Amino acid sequence: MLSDARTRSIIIQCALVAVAAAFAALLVSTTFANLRARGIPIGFDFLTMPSRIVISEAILTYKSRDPYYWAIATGLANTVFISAVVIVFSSALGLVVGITRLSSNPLAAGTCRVWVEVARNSPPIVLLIFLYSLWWKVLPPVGEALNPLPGVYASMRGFVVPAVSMDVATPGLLVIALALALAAAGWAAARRRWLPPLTAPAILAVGIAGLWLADAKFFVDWPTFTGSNFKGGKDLTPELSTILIGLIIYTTGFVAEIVRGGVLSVGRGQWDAGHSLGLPRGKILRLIIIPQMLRVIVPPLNSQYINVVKNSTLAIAVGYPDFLAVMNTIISKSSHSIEGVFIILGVYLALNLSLSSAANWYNRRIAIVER
Amino acid sequence: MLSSALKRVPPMRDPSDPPAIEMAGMNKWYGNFHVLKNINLTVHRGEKLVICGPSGSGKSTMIRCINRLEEHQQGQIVVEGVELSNDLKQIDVIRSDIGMVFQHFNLFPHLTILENLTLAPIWVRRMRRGQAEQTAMHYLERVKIPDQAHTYPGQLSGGQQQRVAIARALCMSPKIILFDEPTSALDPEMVKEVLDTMVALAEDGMTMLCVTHEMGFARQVADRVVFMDQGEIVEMNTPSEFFSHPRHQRSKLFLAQILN
Ligand SMILES: Nc1ncnc2c1ncn2[C@@H]1O[C@H](COP(=O)(O)OP(=O)(O)OP(=O)(O)O)[C@@H](O)[C@H]1O
Ligand SMILES: [Mg+2]
Repeated sequence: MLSDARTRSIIIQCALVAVAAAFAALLVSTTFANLRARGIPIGFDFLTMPSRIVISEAILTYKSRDPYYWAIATGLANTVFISAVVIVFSSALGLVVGITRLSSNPLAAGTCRVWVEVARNSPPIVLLIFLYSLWWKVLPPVGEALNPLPGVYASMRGFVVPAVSMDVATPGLLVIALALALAAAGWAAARRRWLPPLTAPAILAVGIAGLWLADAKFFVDWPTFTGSNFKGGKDLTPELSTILIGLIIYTTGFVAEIVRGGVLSVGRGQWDAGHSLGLPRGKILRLIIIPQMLRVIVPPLNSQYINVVKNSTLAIAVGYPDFLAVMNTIISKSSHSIEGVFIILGVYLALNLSLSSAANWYNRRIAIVER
Repeated sequence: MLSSALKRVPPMRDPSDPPAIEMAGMNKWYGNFHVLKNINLTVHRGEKLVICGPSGSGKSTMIRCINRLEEHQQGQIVVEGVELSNDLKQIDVIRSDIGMVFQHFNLFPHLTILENLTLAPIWVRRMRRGQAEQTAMHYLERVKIPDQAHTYPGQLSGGQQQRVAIARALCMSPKIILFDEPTSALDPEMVKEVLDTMVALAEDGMTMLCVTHEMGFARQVADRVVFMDQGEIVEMNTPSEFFSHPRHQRSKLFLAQILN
């Protein structure tokens, strides 16, 4: 029986798991015993106590009277927000930059090449500190704020942009419509490997109809300049702007290289076939090359996304309170360092594992059918 | 040997009718390498040309110049009355009227057979999806694989893939079809099914340029055989003359090599 390859592999794996579990249990029980012997309290009860720490800016609403768990959630939300914004923007920009590097226009290709080389060869922390120092050197004081776009102001104190809020009369209907739109998207994705031209507008239409039926009203709060300050709008502080812009510039360089490799991985024959049918270059890219390169670039892209989550901890360099920074404050304030470190490890592990499983799911979805 | 009963009457031609393709004094270089040397060739509508010659003689390069997959540097190429230039819009229009079938099929592996066939009619010809699918099914029936419409290229045999590639070209209702060694990547037992499809196409009066070493096919359908060597058109003649009385030493050598 032991000679059966599958049985043997299962037995070996069980043995390995048992050894690892025993080792972990030993480690944990010794640590706890030692801590207790020294009179250091251990446990997660502190989470519900008021934290009294200050978080300088937050996506969620946070006051220092709130309990520790809410402070943790606030830091986590900041990290998730930074990571999500950076991932979305650097993916879109990286696609454009990567493809433009292959363009026959030397100026455009050269510019993109410089971007890629700068981003890939500088330590991200240097990029962040450099950008952060620019705020006071380049941008004017509040009184002379630049107004590059209507409703957008830039000054030493950061950006001020219009804030959008939504008021829904019957939220139930909106939820139903969003669920419908999601289901339609899922159905389309399951049926077709590549969304046919009309799917996206159809899904959008369901969403908009839902908003209309639910009688949603949008409010745009335009910032106004009062002479010494801004009223209304949404503030993007120099800290948040720096970490977002810096990580977007940095990550775009890597995404662009992955995209370039992806485009080159699709054979010349596919371009020939597209051209011979009279398809213009842009349509060949969109309909033939990009769908095929996706399956090549998703795994390396996923490791870049994981890097974004990890690099978001550099927020500490410009003083933006991301998850790690908040946890540091919590640990020093509460002296629950063991629990704190466990929470930190658990959270980054969970974030990155969810990114990986999303990527794996997507990769299976778009795999090419072979015999 | 095919019997001489297959000798065809050359197609009747109105002298005022412009030729399908006209190349005059055409030259092409890759860097310093002179690939195509002073090519002069006129192809009339409905004519079938077989192009042969040793490897590296520039056959692929020449037919790829006709739909500007390659750019020529000197001379003129006029396709259906339009001279090929750098005007991108115009090139896409000309390309959509010239079908091309490649040695390695070049089907789109991420799309089903039906989607492969309807892609260009929908995005280039602005055809409605329903109509494009109807046309596609019509041509899939002609190449005898309508039951594979919803499979992917990777699930088909080489011969089937090449027939799909021919159907894909036909869906654009091209005026000219270019074949670049359409059977040389196929297993021997699949060559015949592809050649049969091409013979049927020839009988319908399509203008065809075909790079191939299938001499049986050349005898059966070609109006003229073009023999190329080292970037030049060395000899151009009817198949029977070319095969029985090759005029040049190089043609004789080539025929001796491929016919033994
Ligand atoms: N992109 C390129 N750059 C440089 N040289 C090239 C390029 N493409 C082809 N060549 C050269 O041009 C010559 C003609 O090539 P071509 O592919 O047209 O030959 P062919 O007659 O089709 O040969 P085969 O029977 O092997 O397909 C060859 O010597 C080849 O090495
Ligand atoms: Mg060739």
